[in-house]
Amino acid sequence: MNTANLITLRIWGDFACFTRPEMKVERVSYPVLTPSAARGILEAVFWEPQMYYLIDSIRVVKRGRWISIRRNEVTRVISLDSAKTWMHSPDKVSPIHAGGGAEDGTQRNMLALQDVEYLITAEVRLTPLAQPPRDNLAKYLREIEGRARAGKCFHRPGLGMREFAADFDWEPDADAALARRTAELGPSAAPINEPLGLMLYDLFDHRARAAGFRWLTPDEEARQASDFDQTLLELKKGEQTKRRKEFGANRQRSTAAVIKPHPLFFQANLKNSRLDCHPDRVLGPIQGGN
Amino acid sequence: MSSSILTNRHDFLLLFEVTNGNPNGDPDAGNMPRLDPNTNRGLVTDVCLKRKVRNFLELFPATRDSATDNGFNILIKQGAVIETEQKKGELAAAESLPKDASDSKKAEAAKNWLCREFFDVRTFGGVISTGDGVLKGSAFGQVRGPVQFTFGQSLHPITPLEVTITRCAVTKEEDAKKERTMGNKHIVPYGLYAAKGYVSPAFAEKTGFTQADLDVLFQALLSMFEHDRSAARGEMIVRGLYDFEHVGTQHANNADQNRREARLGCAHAHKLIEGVQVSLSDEAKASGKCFPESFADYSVVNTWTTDNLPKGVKLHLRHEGQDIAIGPRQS
Repeated sequence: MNTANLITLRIWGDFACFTRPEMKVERVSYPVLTPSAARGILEAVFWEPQMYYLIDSIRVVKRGRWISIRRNEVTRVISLDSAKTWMHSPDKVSPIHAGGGAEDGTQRNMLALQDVEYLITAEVRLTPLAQPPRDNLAKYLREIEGRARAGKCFHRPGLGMREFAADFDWEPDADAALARRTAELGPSAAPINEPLGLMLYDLFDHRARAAGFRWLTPDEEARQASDFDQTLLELKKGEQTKRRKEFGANRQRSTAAVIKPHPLFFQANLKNSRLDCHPDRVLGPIQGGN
Repeated sequence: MSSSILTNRHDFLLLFEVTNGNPNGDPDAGNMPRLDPNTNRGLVTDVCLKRKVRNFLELFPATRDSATDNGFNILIKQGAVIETEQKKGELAAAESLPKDASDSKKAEAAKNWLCREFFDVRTFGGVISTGDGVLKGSAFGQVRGPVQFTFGQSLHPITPLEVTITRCAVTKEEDAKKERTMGNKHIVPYGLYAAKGYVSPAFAEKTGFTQADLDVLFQALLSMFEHDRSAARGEMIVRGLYDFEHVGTQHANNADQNRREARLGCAHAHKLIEGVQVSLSDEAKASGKCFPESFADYSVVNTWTTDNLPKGVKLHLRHEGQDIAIGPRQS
């Protein structure tokens, strides 16, 4: 691992909920930020298919307090099939009824964190799509630093949920930042040493994503469609329709293979407020299947 | 009204107060006002604020210029609001796709139609069931809306009170012979709350959220409490809507570069929002008050001026009028 490719962002917010997958209906948060949530925050600030992040470590500045919040939520999702009907006969629209006692509403509890602050250190790597010398690591490191220093982001990052918005800033040195913030916070920021047990690492094998992808251009999509039409010429009409349907469902829209969600877990261990989570160190050889 | 897609990032701060009312009941605590047990500060959830925006737009839908423009129907309605049947007919039917269009094209058309017709889907996003085994629950079935609200928090601890009332109209049939029954309700004597909001143009492009939609949203935020009066709510007033618009740091001639900058933003959101300082007023401090009893006990100081506002940012004082703004800094 090349330490020169490491970046550190300090992130903080009023609330956070890093939902444990085993309790996702009435959400219960992990006690600290998970690597996949950290990745999401970095990607909200900057991401390109030519590069990807591996979360190296997470330092906990403010662990936060637990808070329980019960809210009205909706149980129904918008059905795409209904929408297809509605768009042709608008009189059939049936709204979702939310709120206390309504048929689609329900009250759900959430065990969240309040007042948290973390330092995310990540390694930046290039995907095979990067074309040096135009796409090089120095360029991406510069761009990430520029964005983080200026408060620029592609979309507002969130601490596990979108209503729990996160603020972020650049830190040149993670250890120095932790020492500085600990001194500023005083005795409440004692170093944390705690085994946190099994924690969700991410929803897919990072190597599956390391390949990167790009969307097909309209030209390429058109070519794909016309190539497909060629294969239909000799077939009967009914067979053609059937094949077309299959083609529509499986059509490629990007150069990437569809990545099936494949949750990975690791033993999370907080040592001196630092959660080591580089996949090369904590995941070991990745097992196949679930 | 402009029908162009929103291109500039916005970060906003909403200040609102409650007097002798319950801004947001907590179902965990018998509908007491939401209270953060760690700090005793009051809370108002994001869903509560979004509900007010939706309800306001149901009462006062913005005018739609043509059937191909964005519509202002609301998809997620409150159970208690009487359904507005007459509005259903206003939904515009979709332009038809060829019969042999692929399933994903049809799905995309349906998704776009949902975003165009329903203001709440376009603004706040939603979850769409795709029915597909592999993609179920994935990002494919999610519409991420450009606007996100955070929880509102009161600036000082609040003291919720339970007040007992006598009701002249009894609620249960067996009580019909009694003239009155006793009831109770919860109030916050006074509380000033702050909630933050963010608008991300990258998602506006996906859902077709326009500058006009944003104007409608701010109008709704300013007026939502005026049309949500009830005995339980007490008196709720919006005291400030500070909208930081990122416009780009370049010269006006360089429109392309400005658009790229404005999309990502030109300054830290937390620094902009911290520039609006809310504290106890000097009079309140002098008279020995520890916590405020009315808005007069607060001083809200906007420290941003045309000279110190970060470059490329324009501050709209939405609560003071449509066109009242500070900045952007010229040099």
